[in-house]
Amino acid sequence: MGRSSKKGPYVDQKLLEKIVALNRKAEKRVIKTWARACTIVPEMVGHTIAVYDGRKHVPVYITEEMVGHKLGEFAPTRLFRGHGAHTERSTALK
Amino acid sequence: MTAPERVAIGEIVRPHGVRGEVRVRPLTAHPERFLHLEEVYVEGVPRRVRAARVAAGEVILALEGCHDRDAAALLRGRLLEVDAPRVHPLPEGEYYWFQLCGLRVFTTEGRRVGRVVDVEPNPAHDLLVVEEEGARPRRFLIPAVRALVTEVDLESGRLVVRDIPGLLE
Repeated sequence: MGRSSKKGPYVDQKLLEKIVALNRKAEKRVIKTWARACTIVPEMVGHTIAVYDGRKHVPVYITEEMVGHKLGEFAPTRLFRGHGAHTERSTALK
Repeated sequence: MTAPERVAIGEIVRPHGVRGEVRVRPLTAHPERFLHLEEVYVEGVPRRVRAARVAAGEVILALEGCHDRDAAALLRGRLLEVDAPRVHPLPEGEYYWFQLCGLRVFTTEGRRVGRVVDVEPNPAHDLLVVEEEGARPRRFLIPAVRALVTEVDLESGRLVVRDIPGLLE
């Protein structure tokens, strides 16, 4: 069942306060959080938030497309290591 | 890190049908490259590709010398490789993981951080695993995005990152 629309999205208040403070000072720094259930709001765009995956903090660079999703969606708790061989997998810098 | 001789582009997961075709899980961001493939190495042995098609994120491949399901079943789990110079050409700003591994990492201020030792996939963006040099090296995760990775120079083996507080700690 979804969250009541009356309450609005869940946003971790401590995290939001830190982001708002950074925005006010026009500063960028990595913010560590354990709040995986926190919804990504437009204020977070352009910031790097290190989200706990149960073992370590995974830095996630927030973009516009992520707004409305939860932080935990971008820090999976399981990682398939895959193949040791050199593969044709690539990374595009966006 | 030295350039690899061959690069894996897929893994045979199971036989498909009774005519010796195999289902391949692509290990490439460009599965359509299989449609133009003429030859591929299976366990170091070159095999001609008879036909290929992409279906539901996987590739169905017909290899020469493999004409029934029993022969196809023997190939389960095998990697399909191509010679490194024949990898699929990438658009500007896109790099193969094997190209990124081994690059020396510097900050925009010129401070040497370490080397890229691995690349981790992530739903948001890939993460560069950078390891410090020294007796007790630490590892850092750096999001592979333009805002943080400002320069990638494969010729000189250099990668420059923007050092924002908390990223390299």
